[in-house]
Amino acid sequence: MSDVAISREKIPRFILSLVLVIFGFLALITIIGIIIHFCFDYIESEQIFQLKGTSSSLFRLTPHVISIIILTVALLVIFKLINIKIKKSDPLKKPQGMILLVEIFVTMIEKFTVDLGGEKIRNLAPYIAYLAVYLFCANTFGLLGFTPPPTSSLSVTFSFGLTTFFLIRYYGIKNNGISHITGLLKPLPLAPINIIGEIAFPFTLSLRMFGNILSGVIIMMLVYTGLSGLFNVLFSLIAGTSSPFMELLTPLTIAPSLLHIYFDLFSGFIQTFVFILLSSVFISSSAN
Amino acid sequence: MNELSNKLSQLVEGGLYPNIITFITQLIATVILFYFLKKWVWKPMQEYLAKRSDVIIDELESARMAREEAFRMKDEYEAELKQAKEEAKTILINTEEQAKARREEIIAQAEQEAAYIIEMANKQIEQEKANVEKELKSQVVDLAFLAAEKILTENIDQDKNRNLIDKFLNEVGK
Repeated sequence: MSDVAISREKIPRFILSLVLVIFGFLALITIIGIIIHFCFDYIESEQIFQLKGTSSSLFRLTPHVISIIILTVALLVIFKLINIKIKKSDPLKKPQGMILLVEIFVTMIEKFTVDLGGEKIRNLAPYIAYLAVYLFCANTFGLLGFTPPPTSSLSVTFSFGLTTFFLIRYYGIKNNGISHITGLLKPLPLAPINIIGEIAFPFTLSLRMFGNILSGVIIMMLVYTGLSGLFNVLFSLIAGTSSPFMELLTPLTIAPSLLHIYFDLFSGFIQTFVFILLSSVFISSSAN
Repeated sequence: MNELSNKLSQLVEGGLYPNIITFITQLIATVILFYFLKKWVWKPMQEYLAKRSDVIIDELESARMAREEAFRMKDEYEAELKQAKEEAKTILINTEEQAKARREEIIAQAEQEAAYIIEMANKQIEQEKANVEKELKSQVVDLAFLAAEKILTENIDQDKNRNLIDKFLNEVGK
C-alpha cells in the first residue's frame, strides 16, 4: 500500500498530466475521425469531405471544424484547471501565478464593460470575456500549425457577428422597449440607411476579422512556400539536384518568426480587441 | 506552383464559402464554452473576489467601530475628568466658604466673649470702687470719730486745732 503511494509520488505530476493530455488529444482525434468516417463521404476529385446525402458546398467539412473542436476541448481543459486552482486557493492570501492572471483578466473585463455601458450590461461581461479568450486563441491558432485558425472561416466569424447582433437587439428591447425598433425610423428619410446600417453590422464585424486573419494565413503560406522554393533553387544551383529536406531550413531563418509575431500575435490581438470593443460599444449604446 | 494555388484556393474557398457545418459547430462551441467559462471561471472568480472584499470590508468596519469606541471612551473619560475637576473646584470653594464662615463665627464669638469679659471686668471694677469708697467712708467716719475724740481729749486752741486737723488730714492722706 505504502509502496504504491511512494511510487505514485515519485512520478512527477507534470509527466502524468502530459501523458493524459497526449492520450486525450489522440482520443479526441480518433473520435473526430470516427464521426467523419460515418457522417461524411470523401470526394476524391476535389479532395474534400461532403456530408452524406448532400452535394452543396454548404455541407462540406472544412479543416476549421477540426480547429474549433480542438480549441474548444483545450479551452475546456484550461477552464477546468483554473476552476480547480480557484477552489484550492485561499482568497485571503496573496494571489499568485494563474490565479493572479485570471483575477486581473476578470476584473479588467468587468471594468471595461461597466465603464462602457454602465450597470445595465454588467451581466454581459462573461460574454466579453469569452470573446476575448476564444477569439485571441482562435486568431493565434495558426501558430500551432495543425489546421487553419477557426477565425479564417467566414462562417465562424459570422456566427460571432450574429450572436453580437442578437445581443444588441436583446439589450435594446430589454432596456428601451419598442422604441428600440421605432428609433430606427426617427428621421423618416434616413430610415433605410439606419436599417441597412444595423443589418450590415454583423457582416462588417465578421468580414473585418475574417479578412485580417485569412490574409495573415495566406501571406504566411506564401512566405513559407517562397522561402522553401528559394532554398531549393540555391541547393540545386550548388549540388545540381533538388532536395525535399530543404523545406526544413525555412523556419531557421528569422523572417517567418517575425512575420508570425506580426500576423498572428499582433494582428490577432488587435482584431480581438477591435471585435470586443465594437461589440460592447454597440451593445452598450443600444442598452442606454 | 499548381500545388500552391490548389492549397490557396482550398483555404480561401473553405473560409469564404458559407458553410453550415462550420457555422453550427461554432455556435455549439460558443454555447458550451460560454457556459463553462461562466460556471468554472467567472463565477468562482467573482465569489473569490467577493469573499476577499467581504473580509476587507469587515476588517475596515471593525477598525472603524474600534476607533469610534475609542473616541467615545475618550469623550467619556474627558467628560468624567471635567466633572471631577468641577467637583473638586466646588468642594474647594465650599470648604473655603465654610472656613471663612467658621473663622468669622469664631472671631465673632471671641469678640463677644471679649466684650463680655470687659464688661464683667468693668462691673468688677465698679464694684471694687464702690467697695473701696464704702470702706473709705467708714474709715473716714472712724477717723473723724477718732479725731473728735482726740480733740475732745486734748482740748487745745484754734491753732492747735488747726494743726491737729492738718495733721489729721495728712494722716488721712497717707
